Amino acid sequence: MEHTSRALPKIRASHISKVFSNGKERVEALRDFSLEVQEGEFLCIVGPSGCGKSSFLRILAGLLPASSGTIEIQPGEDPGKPLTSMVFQEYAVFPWKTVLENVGFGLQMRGVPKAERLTIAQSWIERVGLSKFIHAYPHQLSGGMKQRVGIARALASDPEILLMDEPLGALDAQTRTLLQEEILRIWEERRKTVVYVTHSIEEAVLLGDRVVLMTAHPGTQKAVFPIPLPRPRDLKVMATAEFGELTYTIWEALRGEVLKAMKLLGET
Amino acid sequence: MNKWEIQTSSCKEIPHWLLVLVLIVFSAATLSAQQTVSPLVPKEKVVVAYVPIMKFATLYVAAGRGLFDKYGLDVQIQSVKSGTEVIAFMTQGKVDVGGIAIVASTWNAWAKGMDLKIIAPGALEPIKGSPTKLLVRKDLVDSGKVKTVADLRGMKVAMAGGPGSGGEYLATKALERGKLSIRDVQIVPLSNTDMPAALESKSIDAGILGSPYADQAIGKGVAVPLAEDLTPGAMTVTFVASGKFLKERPEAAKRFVLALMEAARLMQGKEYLSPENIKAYLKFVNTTEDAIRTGEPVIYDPNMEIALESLKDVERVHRENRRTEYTQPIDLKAVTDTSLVEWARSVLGRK
Amino acid sequence: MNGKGNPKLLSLLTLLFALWNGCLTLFHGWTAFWWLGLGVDFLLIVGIAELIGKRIPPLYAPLYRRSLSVSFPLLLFLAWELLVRGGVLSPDWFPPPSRIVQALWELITKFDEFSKTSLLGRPWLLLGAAWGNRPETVKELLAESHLYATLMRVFVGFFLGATPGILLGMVMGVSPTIRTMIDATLSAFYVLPKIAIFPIMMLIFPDPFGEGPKIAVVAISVFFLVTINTMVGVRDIEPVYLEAGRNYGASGFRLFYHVILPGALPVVFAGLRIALGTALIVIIAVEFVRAKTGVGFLTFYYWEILSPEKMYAGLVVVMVLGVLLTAGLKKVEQWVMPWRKP
Repeated sequence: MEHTSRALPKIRASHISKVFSNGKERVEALRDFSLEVQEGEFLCIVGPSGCGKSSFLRILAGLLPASSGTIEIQPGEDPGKPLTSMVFQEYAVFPWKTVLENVGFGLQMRGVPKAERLTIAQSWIERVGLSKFIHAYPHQLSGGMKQRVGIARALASDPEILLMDEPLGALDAQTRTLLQEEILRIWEERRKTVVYVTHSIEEAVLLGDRVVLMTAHPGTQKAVFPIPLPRPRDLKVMATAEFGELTYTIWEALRGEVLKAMKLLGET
Repeated sequence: MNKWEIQTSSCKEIPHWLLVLVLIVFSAATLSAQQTVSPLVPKEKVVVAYVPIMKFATLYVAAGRGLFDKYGLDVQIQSVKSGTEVIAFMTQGKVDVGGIAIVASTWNAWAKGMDLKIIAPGALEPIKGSPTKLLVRKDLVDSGKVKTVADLRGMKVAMAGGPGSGGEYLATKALERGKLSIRDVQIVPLSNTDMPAALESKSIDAGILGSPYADQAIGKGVAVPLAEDLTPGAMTVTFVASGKFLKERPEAAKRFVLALMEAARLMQGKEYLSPENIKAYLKFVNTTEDAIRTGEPVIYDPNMEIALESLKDVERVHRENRRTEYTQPIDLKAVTDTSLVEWARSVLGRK
Repeated sequence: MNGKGNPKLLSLLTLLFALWNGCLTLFHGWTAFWWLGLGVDFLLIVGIAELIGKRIPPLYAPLYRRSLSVSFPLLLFLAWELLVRGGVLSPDWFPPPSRIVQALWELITKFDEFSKTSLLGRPWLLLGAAWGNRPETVKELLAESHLYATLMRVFVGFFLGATPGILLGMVMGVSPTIRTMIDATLSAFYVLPKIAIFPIMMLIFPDPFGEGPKIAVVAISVFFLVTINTMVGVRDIEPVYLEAGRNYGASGFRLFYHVILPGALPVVFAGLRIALGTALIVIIAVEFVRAKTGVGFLTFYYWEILSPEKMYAGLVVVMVLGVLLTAGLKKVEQWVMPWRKP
């Protein structure tokens, strides 16, 4: 790989397409989707359901091959660290592992010695406030607690990039707000590069440095909105007029897409 | 009571000329017996359950050649798998007469006080030349390992039927020839059809085989007979009636046995294979004409004597084999009712 | 009053219950209408139990529920006993529970001199023989027990069938190629009544009358059930678990061990539970006709020699075995999968 002194983007996705086909049917999930994410940037992707944002995240994570296009991710200094770690929806924590085992899973797979692994996992469990439940199984936890485990699991493996796939989508409103606050707090400590997929505009504006708006069928990039709200942020920012304006502008742009998506679904 | 007894017992008080007259009338009645027994009007239903083997052939002939009809009986015949079922149905009043083997279950039923009576014999085992034999593997004889039945101690002996069955009676009788009990060998329950192959593959050492499997095994050269005519003249299968049937419908019961005996008399000698008879057999037994022609030459006693001595031996064997729930011999008088066959003999005359 | 249960209604139902049974008994209606009598009794008892349940304080509610589940079978036995004693059912063919219990006791305590067996054998001598290192005696003692014969066949057959079943099921779940190759064949064999292939098993084994063919049919029945369930279990794993596993660096055997195996276990155990029940059904059926030992043999034997009490006692043993084996597997399940909601 060519090395230049100029700061390269942490992620450069160029002209990504993804087509799913199962014999008869062909579904085009992504078409010519390009995106750059800077080191330490918190990027949010918003779009109607079925716009291929989850597929894009899986292509970034290497879980799904792209049909065409290239992905470049700048590796960090430590080659032992994973490039990406994904936070899925809350039910993706392994029900058969305890909180400690779940959080230490990535480290275990990387072959980190047990003692070190436990120390790291324990510190992350403390940071998400689950010390009391360290040996509990997920069925003993609430949805919000499970997702704290999911976030701790991703952060404990200390990836170059944190990928988050609608992590708060299935939670109730209060829990979601609490966790948004927590994500903000934790992110401010390290300022890791984050690609965050959500269908909530408020969430995207609250968390992100930039918000990418996607269209559906096929998924392409429609617009990019920089979020110039000051950092460090907390929930108070939601009370500002600027927050309201940004949210409304994005909503205006998104509405047409949502309507189009609904119409498409109605027709098929 | 039958007519014959009534008439002889009253002969002391009546004059001689009257006795002579009565005798003349009676012998005339015997000669034209069929006319003296009137058919039942209206027809009476008799439900018969039977195990479909040739030993109940009198039943098939009586039904197939219209003898039951002749006496006003509407006989409904059901085939069943085991005698135990027949006993159950008889005590519940669902079946009137059963054609069953006298085995451990029958004795246990009597010991429990179930109201069942033997009213007529099925076919008896032949006195000589029975095709059912105790065979032993030829290689065991050739090597000198087995010379007599007594040498079978500890060996695998196959028999058809499970514990307490007629097959076990046969096996016990065969082993008794060598002063062995079925405890002294390893009994392998196996169907007759499987036995030739089992002998050939040496998975059994000996077996009691019936027709035509015994001849098959001997013909193939895998086995030789060790004992023959295991139970000469034995009565192992009988017609059993429920006490309720005998008490409540004696006329139907009498005519039923009469028809059986008439059927037996239609099956003597060459008559046994008459086309009418073969048609009747094939209607009730799942077999072929060839199989019947080459089958076991069993005895269909035209007088239908109930062989108490044989019955006593069957009872003893099952009791000594500890297949019964009791330990003292059962009184055979209580489980047999000979009056029906005696009456039928008086009608048809002794042959 | 609402939700509290109406005391008037309760006494009314109780009165109805007493009247109904009283009238039936008085007018000798049981013989002809015993099924109707029991049916109405059942409905009335359900009503009474429901009303009492509403009046029970919440603290004792669980206790009340448990007592209901225990007392229902007891009531059934009582009804049976009364029907027999009252002459409605024939004691010869439907012996009352008291006589079945007596027969069961006899089966347990009476050593059959002829076949040198009893239901349980003499397990108390077993420990001494094992301790004294007398393998011949241990073998003889085990041969005495019908229960041991059945259990041994079930356990060995279950183990021999389940182990390859789980392995093949896992492989089929993971590999589409193997799955497409084998699936149809497997489904075809699955529906075969295993008792029908018993004669074939007898041909395959050197000793057709030994334990081999019996264990083999059990193993085969178990194998198909377990294979199919395991395959389904693997295929039904939430895709997100596999994604998570792969995203955190698991692949190959480690993905299998950490994600696929535990993810499939609940369905695998569901399969094992059905398979264990089937194993018992199959071995009892085989023993009915083709064995000289075992609980199934014992049951059929006592029917064949016409000792119905003991036949029923044999059936009771089969039922108890079924309950105990299932409960045992449940314990194993909890031990293997502590993460499952109890």
